[in-house]
Amino acid sequence: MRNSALGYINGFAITPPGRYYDKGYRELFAEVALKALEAAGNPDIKAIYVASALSELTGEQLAIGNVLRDYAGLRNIPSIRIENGDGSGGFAIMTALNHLASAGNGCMLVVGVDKPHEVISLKQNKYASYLLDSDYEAYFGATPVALAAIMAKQYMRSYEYKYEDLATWAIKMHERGAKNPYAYFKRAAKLKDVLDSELVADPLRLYDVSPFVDGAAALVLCSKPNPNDLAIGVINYGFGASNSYFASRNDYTVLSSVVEAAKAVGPLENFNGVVSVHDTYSIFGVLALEALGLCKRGSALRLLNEGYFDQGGRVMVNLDGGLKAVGNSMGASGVYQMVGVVMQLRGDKPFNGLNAESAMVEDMVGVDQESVVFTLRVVK
Amino acid sequence: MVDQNLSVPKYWRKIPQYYRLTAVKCRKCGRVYFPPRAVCECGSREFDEYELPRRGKLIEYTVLRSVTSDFEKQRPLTFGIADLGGVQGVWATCGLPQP
Repeated sequence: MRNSALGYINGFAITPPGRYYDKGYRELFAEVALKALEAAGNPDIKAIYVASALSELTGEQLAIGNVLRDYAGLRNIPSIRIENGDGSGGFAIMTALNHLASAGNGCMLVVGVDKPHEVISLKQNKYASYLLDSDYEAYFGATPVALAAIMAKQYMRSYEYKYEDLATWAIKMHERGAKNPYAYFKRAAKLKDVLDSELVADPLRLYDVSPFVDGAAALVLCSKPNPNDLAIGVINYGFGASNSYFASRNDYTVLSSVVEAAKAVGPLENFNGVVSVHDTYSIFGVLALEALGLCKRGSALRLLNEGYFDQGGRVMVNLDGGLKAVGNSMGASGVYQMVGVVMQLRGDKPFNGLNAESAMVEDMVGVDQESVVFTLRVVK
Repeated sequence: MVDQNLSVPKYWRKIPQYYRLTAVKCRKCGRVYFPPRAVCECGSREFDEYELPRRGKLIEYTVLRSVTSDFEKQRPLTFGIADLGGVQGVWATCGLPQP
């Protein structure tokens, strides 16, 4: 791992995920943007990167940056909206880091914001289906969960797991969410709750699916750390892609884009610290751990059940409860993940006493279409 | 086929794929792509149309119960990946009820 950082996270803020019928894109944006800027000491900002997957679909707003900027009083700062499905957040951070590198100095504001709850769930499903190939997959009614279900079936068959083994993901995420004031689901779940929940696409049940939430999360990325605060740097990032057409893949038990992205970051087998994986569906959380190289293929579910990825271990996974408990805020989800690990590295409540110095964030677009993996570290 | 507010040209230009399973075959290396692509893995950009066989082997399937707004009346939907004559899997989809 490199020692110099690509950028430092000098300020951050999140809105507790929820169903904000009383707030729109601009209100959610302003709340977190202003808090993050204040936390960073109100530095000059070179650009605002807005990560949003649904702004025109549920918000009926194109060119959303100028509306958001105006409402938040951030005049004369250019805004760039990044749309890359539920991976928009990670790709916005990546783009802001690149901008920081080309500028050589200064700060960027990255805000993830999305409002799936402007529409009913059948419409949310339709918009989620746009993450797939619109002409050849979504056209026939396919949604990401149907493809995730096929991957779960293949994985469980290949490595001889029972559904009860997979249910552990939901149970652990709910357990962590119950301790996280920023989680959407703050209730623990028992195996019976998972087994009794409705089938969404066999073998996946309701508890395997992260809930859509409205939310906003913001980061202030700077070329130099804030001298009055703990310096947390993004050390490296890697990008990876897989075949876009699901049926043209050879292997349904691996997230190839995550494998590629992890390879680009560098060897991660000896990583120790906190990890945040993009568990839109339980199976994606499990497969991400293998794809990141944190364990051997086929072993993640066994290790998860043995408690290997729990707090206190070498690799602590989704201590905030992941998308499963925090919620799936689509374009904002990657920024939530990033803020989650920053809070963990800082030891902010409820993550005090972790003493973790390194972190990893995996953000994925749709069903293994594209991924970006970040490594972070407390820089001393 | 379904309650979709579909764009006419978007639907019309896909008729060969939707109804005849028209794939493309690379003139240079013989790789077959469904859906069609502009550039082959071998780098060639020259393709011929190639109709996929109508019978194949089902690799995996699932029954989707949480559908999108356009498919409310067809719920549940069955999705599968099929191997059609050695060509990499194709989405086999149907509105069949749960077996």
